[in-house]
Amino acid sequence: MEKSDILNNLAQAVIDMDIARVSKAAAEAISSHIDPYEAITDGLAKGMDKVSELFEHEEYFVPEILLCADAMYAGIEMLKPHFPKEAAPNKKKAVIGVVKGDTHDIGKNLVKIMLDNAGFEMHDLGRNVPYAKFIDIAGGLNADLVCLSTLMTTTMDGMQVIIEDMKKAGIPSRIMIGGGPISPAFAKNIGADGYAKNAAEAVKVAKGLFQTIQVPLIFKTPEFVSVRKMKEGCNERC
Amino acid sequence: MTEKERLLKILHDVKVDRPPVIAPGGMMTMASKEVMEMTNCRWPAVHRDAEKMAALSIAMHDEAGIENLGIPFCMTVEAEALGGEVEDGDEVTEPHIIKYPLESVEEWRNLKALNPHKDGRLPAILTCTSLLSKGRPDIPVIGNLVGPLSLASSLIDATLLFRALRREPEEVHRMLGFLNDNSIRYGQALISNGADLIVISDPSATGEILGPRMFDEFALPYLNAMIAGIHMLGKPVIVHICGNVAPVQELLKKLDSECISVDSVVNIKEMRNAIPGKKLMGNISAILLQNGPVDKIQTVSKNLLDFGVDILAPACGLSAKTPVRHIRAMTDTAKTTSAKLQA
Repeated sequence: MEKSDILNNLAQAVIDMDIARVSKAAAEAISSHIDPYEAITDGLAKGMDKVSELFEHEEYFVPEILLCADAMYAGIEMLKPHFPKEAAPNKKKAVIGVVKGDTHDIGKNLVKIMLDNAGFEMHDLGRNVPYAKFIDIAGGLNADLVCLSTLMTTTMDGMQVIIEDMKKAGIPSRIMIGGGPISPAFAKNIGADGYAKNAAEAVKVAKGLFQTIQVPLIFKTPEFVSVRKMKEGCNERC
Repeated sequence: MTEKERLLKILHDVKVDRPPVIAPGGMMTMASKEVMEMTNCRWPAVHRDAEKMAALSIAMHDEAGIENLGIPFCMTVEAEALGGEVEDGDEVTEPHIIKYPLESVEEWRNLKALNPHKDGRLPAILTCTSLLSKGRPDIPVIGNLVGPLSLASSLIDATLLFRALRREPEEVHRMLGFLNDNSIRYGQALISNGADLIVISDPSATGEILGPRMFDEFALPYLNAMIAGIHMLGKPVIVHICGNVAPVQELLKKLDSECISVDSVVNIKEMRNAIPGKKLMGNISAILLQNGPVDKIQTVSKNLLDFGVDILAPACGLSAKTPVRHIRAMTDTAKTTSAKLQA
């Protein structure tokens, strides 16, 4: 089979939410010695780009996005072991979590995956994380970066508490924040070093904070514009 | 005309002197920290104390001019009674689910049928409803239910639920059917204890998340079954849908509730034209109400009344950090401006 067919199959299987076909195409990519980065960028991620488009045009909604993403991740998992081994001596350590009071974590998970792919060593504290835990873990690990996420206005102020407490505790980690109700102005106000609108931007911002990291951005995720409304739903308060 | 008469009349399509201004409770919380401090009925203690809950709701009416009583102050009571683990939050953070009882949709079969008189905080809510209804008979008491899909997504991770909508639709239907039967029983118990109307909040069922096809298949029939269960006892229903409703606007016409409440992103003027047969409630931004300024709250309130909103309300409820004078700016505007409009 032609390389372009395999890449197209990867993309189309993601669009069709078909894990079995993604797996089959990924296996073909591996046996045909296609560069796994290329299989992701020009295959799986290209499919996901199309999915973003369908989402923007209101042909796909959140359930479809989730299943497309599942298919994409299934493919990435298969391709991962075939990545060329690169020396990564200075992996930056990043701590990530959803601030206490909030249990929405899709955005956080996406950022985690993206940063992991971009060469950060990720420490995921999960969701509904007590303030002190961020400080303890960031201090203990000597983390380079702390990523705070919230999707609820009610928990936004917790971010400020964490940033202040980190400074008080003398922890020098850079801080990046994001989530539905967060604005760049809010981030600046509470003393965060960076703000990211979505997972793709999070990589750029995080890398910008550490100019020395030069791992290429591997793939783009769709902008999950309305995923933030997923549970307690509303635009702002919830 | 009492506040109760005004709200019920408008829901029954009877002409009244002016639109009421309400904050229903439940997901659309009606509490302010300032009033908690005034009354010493503070979150989180209030959430498990029927008397304090009643006192705080009444004080919100008396101090902030909100024309209803509405409890609880969160959207977790049904999920907790069904086995969800709830953290009570703090003075400004609502109770929220921290552990889902279900790890897969199939596990709904392990859930025990709800007993509203026994399970979790439901008895306290029923007691409080009764206290409110007997204590302030002129003020409408709102009973709050969590909509079917939102209740489901309080029992299982939403991403698993949404995947299941496509992967195992039949099982999701069975789960929603079970949950709906229980919610209806609880809603009917609220009415027996004095609730004058029911507000169903279904934030997870927004068209923005589901799209029209899934909304039609998984949200609409269960909402209508819930509404039918309430109508059976002769009480009106308001349904609140979060987010941008444009993708499902046509389908909302099929909703059997008397009134639809919408998020602040929705243009009331357009909605008014699109759904002429229903009463519309909304939709002052909760962030505007929290941050002010007062004159902007007044202008927005006035505009909404001009656009023909039938019930003025904060979109998606109040943030607990909202100052009383900001809420007053909204309630006073409804009470003065619209009287002039009518005249």
